[in-house]
Amino acid sequence: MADTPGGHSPGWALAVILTLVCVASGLVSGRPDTVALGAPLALLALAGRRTRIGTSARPSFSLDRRGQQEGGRLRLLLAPAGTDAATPRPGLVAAVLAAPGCPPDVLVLMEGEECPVLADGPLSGEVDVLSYGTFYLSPDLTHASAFDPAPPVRVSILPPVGPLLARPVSRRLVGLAGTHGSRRPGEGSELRTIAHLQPGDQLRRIDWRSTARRSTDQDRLMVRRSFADAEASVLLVIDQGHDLPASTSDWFAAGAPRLVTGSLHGARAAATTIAASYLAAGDRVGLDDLGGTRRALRTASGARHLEQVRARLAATAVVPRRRRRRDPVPPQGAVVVVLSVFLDPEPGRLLKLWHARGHVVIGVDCVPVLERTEATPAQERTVRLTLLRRRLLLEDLRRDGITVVDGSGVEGLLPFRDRPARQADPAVGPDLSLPTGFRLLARRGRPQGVRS
Amino acid sequence: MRWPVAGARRATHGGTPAVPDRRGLVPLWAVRCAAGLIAVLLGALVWNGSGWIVLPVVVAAGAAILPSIGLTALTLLLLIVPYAVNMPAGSPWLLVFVAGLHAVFVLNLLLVHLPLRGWISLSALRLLGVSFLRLQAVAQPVAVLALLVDDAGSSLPVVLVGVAALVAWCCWLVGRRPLRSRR
Repeated sequence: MADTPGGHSPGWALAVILTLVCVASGLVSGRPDTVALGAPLALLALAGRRTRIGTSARPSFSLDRRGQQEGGRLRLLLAPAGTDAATPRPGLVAAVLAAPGCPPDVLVLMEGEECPVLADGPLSGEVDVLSYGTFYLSPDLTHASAFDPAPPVRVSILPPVGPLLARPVSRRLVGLAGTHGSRRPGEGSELRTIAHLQPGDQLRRIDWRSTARRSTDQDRLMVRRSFADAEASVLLVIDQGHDLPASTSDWFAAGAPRLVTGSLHGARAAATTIAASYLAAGDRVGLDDLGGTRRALRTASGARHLEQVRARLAATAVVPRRRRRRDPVPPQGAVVVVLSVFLDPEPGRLLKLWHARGHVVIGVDCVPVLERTEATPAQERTVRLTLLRRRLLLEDLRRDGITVVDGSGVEGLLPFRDRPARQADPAVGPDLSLPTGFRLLARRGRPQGVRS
Repeated sequence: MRWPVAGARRATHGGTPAVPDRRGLVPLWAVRCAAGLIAVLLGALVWNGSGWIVLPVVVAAGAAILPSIGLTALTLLLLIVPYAVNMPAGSPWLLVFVAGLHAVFVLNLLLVHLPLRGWISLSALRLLGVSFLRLQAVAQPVAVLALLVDDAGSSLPVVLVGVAALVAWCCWLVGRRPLRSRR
């Protein structure tokens, strides 16, 4: 209903037509009161001839940080971008808003007025939370500008950090500083042996008690030798190929994108928790994805690196896998954690490959507890076959001695009360939760007599 | 501009719509109800108890819900033409009709541009009201003059005085400086 290029609008034309009808019927029936009926319409048409829509800049949305999460919803502020000085008087601005999966709603405001809007946001990740566009109306409504679509409001929510986990590490630690005891001689606090002083031994290593005990004539000095301290390296490999929602009917949903929390949020939350656990102990963490679409985040340590990892994880979205020229190569002695839904053999193949190369490998299954809500028998069969295939892939990994833990309950994705439902159905996924699995692996991988 | 109608909601059901988080907003359904109600009340006057009143009621309800300029035009024609036919000349209901027709026109014209659901701020409604009253300030005297002409059509001095008063009133309205520039 915008104005025509000639400057006339359908509303203005309607006012003119109705005025003519009033005048004609009044003249035909000889009644001045019928003519007077058209007076306001005639005045509207007269006023509308001179009215022009102001060319104000489009209002824009910004994230209101003060009340960012109100009842789990994002608070966005629709603020005017400034009014053109040439605008004779303020008009109306209509902002048409559409949240993902919803029909459009409209917000009619006076020009220059601001209004906060609550919209659903994701638990983590980077998504468009609101599409909108605006158009202007003159105060007498006889003129309207064309609809002006704006770029959607996109927010990026960092994945949450859960409670810290135990840290399984490789026996072949190669770092030079850290909190883990390695199996190679060097500087450290873990006693390896007591031996005679050799050239090259530091004097502060002399153990006077052992010297007094073992060198009876005091002619030979004894020194304490230790295992070197080392930091662990961890490579997180995230599978961006799928994002399975908890409700199985959503697997088949087509059409407009919706804000549905799926397995990718579980993968993000699990990866963040694992990264935070290792980085808190001074270890090094790297991040790569199975899709091969982005460069890997190199292993590093520190709190700032955790923020980098979270930002990179927040930017992960479903991306089709590319054919890689070569498989990712984890750092030597690294723990490799693959976070996936294990719907295809690729994650399992890489886990087996790295396991065969001597790395400590852990699979983290990110499929949430499923709500079986299929609508048709065909959908039911598809889901059943998909889960069967997953089960075979997971059993194959278990036969090869590769631990796969359930990473769906780390934070937020699943309520804790749903856990027994998952454990009751071993076909759906592993029954070892992420904290328990990491604790067992840390205990199993710890060498005798070497502290963790 | 075409917006999805109610059926589209069922098709894309699943998301949670964005809602404004402040006071001073009126839901659009209230505006739709007001537009439909005014049209029905005016129609009840001019259709004079006829069974055909169902027709303007249905059209008025349709115009309040569907974004169609054709239905708006039909609603107004179904009020104007019966007024000319059914209402007696010189009826004092003219003043109500002039205001009512104008209100129906403005409200339907507002709704024509908008999707089905939404909100309008009180400031925006106030702006529309001020614009409405500015035009009514001229339209109501014109209606009074029309009644005067109808009653005393043969008395030329009365008509001339009425026209002169209307012209003077209009000149004063046009000539006075707006409040904002006076400040």
